[in-house]
Amino acid sequence: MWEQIKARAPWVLAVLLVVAGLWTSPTLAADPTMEELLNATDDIARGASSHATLEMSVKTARYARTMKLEAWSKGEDKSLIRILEPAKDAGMSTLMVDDNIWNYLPKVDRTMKVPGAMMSGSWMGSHFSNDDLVKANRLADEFTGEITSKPDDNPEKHYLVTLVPKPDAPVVWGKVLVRVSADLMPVDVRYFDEDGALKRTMKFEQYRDFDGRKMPAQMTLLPADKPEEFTRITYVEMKFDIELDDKKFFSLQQLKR
Amino acid sequence: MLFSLAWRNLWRQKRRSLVTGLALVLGVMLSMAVICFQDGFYTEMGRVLIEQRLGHVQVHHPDYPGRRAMHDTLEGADELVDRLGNDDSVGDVTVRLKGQMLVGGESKSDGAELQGVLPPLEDAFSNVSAMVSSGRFLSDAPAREVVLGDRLAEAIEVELGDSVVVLTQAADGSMGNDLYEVVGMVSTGSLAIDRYGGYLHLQDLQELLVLPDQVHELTITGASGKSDQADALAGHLQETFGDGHLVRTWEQVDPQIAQMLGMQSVAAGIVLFFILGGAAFVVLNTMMMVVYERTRELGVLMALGMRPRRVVAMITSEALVMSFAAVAVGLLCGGLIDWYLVVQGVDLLQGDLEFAGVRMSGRIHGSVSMASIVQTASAGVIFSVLAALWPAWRASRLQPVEAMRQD
Repeated sequence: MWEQIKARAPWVLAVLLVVAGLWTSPTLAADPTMEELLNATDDIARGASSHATLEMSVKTARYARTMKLEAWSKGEDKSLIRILEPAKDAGMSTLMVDDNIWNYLPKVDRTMKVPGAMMSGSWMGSHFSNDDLVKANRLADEFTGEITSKPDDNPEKHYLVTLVPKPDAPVVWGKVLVRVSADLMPVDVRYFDEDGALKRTMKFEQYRDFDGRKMPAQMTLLPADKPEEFTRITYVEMKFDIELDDKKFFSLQQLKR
Repeated sequence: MLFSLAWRNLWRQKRRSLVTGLALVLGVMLSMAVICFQDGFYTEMGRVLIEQRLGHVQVHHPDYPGRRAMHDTLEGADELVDRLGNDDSVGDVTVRLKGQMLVGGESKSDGAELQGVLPPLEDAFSNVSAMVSSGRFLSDAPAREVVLGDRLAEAIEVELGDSVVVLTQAADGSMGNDLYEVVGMVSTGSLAIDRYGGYLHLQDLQELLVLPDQVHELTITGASGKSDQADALAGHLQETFGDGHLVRTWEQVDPQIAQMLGMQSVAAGIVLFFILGGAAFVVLNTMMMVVYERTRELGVLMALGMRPRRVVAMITSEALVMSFAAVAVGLLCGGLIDWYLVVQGVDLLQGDLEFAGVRMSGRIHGSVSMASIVQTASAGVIFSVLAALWPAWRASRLQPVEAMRQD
């Protein structure tokens, strides 16, 4: 299972949406700067909280499964995900605080911290690794780049931002291409290795309104070397700025409840 | 004529010839003893590695050795075991299912590769219960028990009787997790097992991984237990199983170990080179003395018409005759030592030796082969003759007139 996901790079968008589950759509006038475009994908309403219900479908060469999840988050560093369905896995929960992950296993009533060596392993059988969930660094922190195409330059009317990692950034990617629509909705993010080969694509679709904010309801992660495989996350419900006592809520005690 | 002359010449300096001969005798004895011990050690190590770990033949899914992917299994495990059990050319069989797991105690957890085995088969094959350092090995029937490597148990702070959580991604994508009681710990001398491994009952692991009736590996020894039958057995099993199964001999499975065991002949060569090479210097010294003492006599012989080639033959045959006699005595004495080593053995260490996941007796019995005896004997003779060549060549270059003048 651990070989499925080897990449340890920050999965900014994944974390942003899966974990934090927050999406803000800044209304900007005129030409956005590159920072603003990256913020469109990066920016989490800092300090804010969320509560979401979502579905995760995983399709691999060997199996296809769909899980129903409930997720809470506060800020960039704290989140809790609980499996609601299927029945076999129901109640399994993952707590993420900073770079640490704990899994609670209701069947055996035990909590296990994921050790460092296993952080690159798959999370719940998906194409996301444990690292993807917690290494929530912002694109703007790790990469430098420029706007290489503007809506007027291409038929799709997208902004295209081309990013290369900063010299000492702890990332495995050689290049990242971010596409953002003219109304500052993320379209997709493509990750390339150092040889310029496409490794993974994250697609954003089904933009709709959740609790007063427009955001993509569906995100699909496509590993480039396995064309028949994907992990798709679909938001069913999303509430923002909920009341959470984060000290108590994101704790090992809460994990068990 | 030449040889009887050489024999008589040897006895002209009785004590010196005896001492030189004795050096050769000791060299041959020592070489025989060391090689006998070495061969015994390598043979035993090879036997133990094959019988306890590698088997003569292993069977996998064709993709398993390269990718070690969970899904690359052999299906119908029960039937495969039955079929092998009824095969006359098969000795012991063990089946293994392997999985990468997160294994956790109350507070700590670590990654490990757990092997699902059928305890009676595994124990008959690898004698694993003898490597249990505390507790016991798994029960014959599945009972949610686990045996951990002793250092893994230490690392995750669990003791006998504790229950550990095992978490892994199962074949259907779900997260398999369950509790198992620690009934034993093993110390095998292999880091992969002691620090990063453990055993579950095959059925328990099949359930956890959702791989019913499947295994990753069949490890098989031949009926009569000789290492040279691996190829024949592999051919036979490939026919039995057909193309969907990858059948490999232990040498193909672990070329490094095959290579290591192949070092046996190199090791013997090194022993012979140093021990008998040393003895050859004694011969060299003696032959130089022989030439020096008999310079006058050689001068006379050459003045009377003895050809240089004949002089060389005379001196070297002296070394040849001496080495023949010494090697004969050496073989006799060395044979006695070998006999003792083979029958009695020597204690390399008290108790057993655990390494690379196998266990061998600390008492090593020697092993003698015709080839090693012939090698030792011929090395003794050849080194002696070679050592005599230089003095002999010097003798053949003497000027008769000057030589005769020497006192």
